Amino acid sequence: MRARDPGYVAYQSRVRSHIIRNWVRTHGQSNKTHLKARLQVKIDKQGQIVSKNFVKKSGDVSFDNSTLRALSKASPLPAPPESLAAEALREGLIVDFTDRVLGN
Amino acid sequence: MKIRFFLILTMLLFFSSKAQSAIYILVDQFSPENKFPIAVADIVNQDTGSLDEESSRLTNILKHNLKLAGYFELKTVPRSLSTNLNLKPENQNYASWDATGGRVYVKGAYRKKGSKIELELRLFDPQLKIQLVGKAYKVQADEAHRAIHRFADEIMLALTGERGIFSTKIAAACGSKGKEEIVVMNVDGTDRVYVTENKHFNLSPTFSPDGKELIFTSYRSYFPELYSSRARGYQKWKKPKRLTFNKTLNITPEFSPDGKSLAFTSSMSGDPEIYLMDLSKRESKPLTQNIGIDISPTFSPDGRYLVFASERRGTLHLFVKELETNRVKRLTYTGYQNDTPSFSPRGDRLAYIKSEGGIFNVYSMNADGTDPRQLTSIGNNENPSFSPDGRYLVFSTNRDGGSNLYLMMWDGSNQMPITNDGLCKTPDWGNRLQD
Repeated sequence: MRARDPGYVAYQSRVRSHIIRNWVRTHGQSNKTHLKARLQVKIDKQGQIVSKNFVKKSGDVSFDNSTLRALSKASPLPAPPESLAAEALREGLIVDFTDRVLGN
Repeated sequence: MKIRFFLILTMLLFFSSKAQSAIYILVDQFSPENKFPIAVADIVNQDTGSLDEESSRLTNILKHNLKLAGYFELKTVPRSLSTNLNLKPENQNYASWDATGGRVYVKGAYRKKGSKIELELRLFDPQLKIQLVGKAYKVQADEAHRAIHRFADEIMLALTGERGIFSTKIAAACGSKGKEEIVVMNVDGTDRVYVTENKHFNLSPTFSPDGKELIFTSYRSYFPELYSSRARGYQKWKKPKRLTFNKTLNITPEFSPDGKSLAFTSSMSGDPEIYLMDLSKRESKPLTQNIGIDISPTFSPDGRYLVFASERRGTLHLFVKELETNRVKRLTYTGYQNDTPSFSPRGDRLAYIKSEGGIFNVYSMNADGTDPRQLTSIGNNENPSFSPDGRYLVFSTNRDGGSNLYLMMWDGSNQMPITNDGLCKTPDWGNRLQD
């Protein structure tokens, strides 16, 4: 099980906080909440983003654009450990952006 | 049969666990820096290719609106990027714009044609290398700021998923003591239009839901009575008509969400009680009957509840009444005077004021009275009113001397003045109009 592999978990958490630092999202008392977008992000062994594609869009253009913006700003991502490098390039990372716990 | 079922089950398990088997990253928080960096180029004169007085006037309106919006951090733009006349997406030098640190940037130009002005305003993303908004406006030269307000609303839509509020209106009572007139102004305080000009004390305007009518209290015939004025086209209001004739106290009017009735406080039968007036028949019936003042009614957006302030438990506190069952529930328990509630458009929050130690501050809480939060802390702060998108509040404050109107975000951040003459109070934020 992957969740028990310390190398995988450490990398996962580094990428997560790196993207969070680069995700600037405006929020408020909007009626639109619970937006979610999923992207497939392929990176090379330096962490440089090679491609990013929506697996599923949120349905809100401003939200989708903000996730793309976050990823471009976040590139290069932390370089993947050797054990994950091939998969990160071939299959990519599955990145879920969600505002379900954000704001009000 | 059994084998097939097993196969389907395995396939289901395989697909649902696919995300978990990939390198999976969940991004469920955003940057704590929070403000969105935006670069705004000076709006260049299309004919001369230079920046002039009109350039800075128009640009400053846009920058000021973006500051009031509270979501943005304005980045400095090198002059060469402003004077560049290439507005088309294919001519953008995205790398230089990216260097300003703006995650998006505004580029604009204007051209005067007779009494009209043409404005071309665009919003780009230098990282994604795309145009997010492109607008051309042709308006009377003295209404150029209206086009800027509309563009600010477009920027908000593109970046937050919800249109901004800069094309909406705020009504208030403005003037020297005893001569406060009802006025309507833009959200940034500009374009003050007089609804009354009677040199008496007028106060507490309330917009009808369609924004085409204002009801307020006026002392013009000695007693505080209610009056109504209707909009006549853009920026003009008809002579007010009197609605009450009881020669007592008639104050704190508030439209019902369907616009058909009006809740207000009157002492027509002695003690100040809340009444509901059917606006087509002009007939009023009492909604409260107790000893002590009942005041400042406000309807929930679905029209089912009425929140108001009452002295029925001693000092002034907020209560909510379910209109169908007449059930009343107390909402506040602390402070000396809890008053002037305003519902958020979603109906989940209430903004109100509370006095503690003789100082009035704006608070907000859930509609059921839980989670109260203090939003202001400088000077006395009164009469909060939610924006139609629920992201802002307008209120009056004496923090700079006199009484000015301020805007803040719903969480109390980004408090900024929109008037500075010290003469405005009792604001009410009108709904979005279809233009």
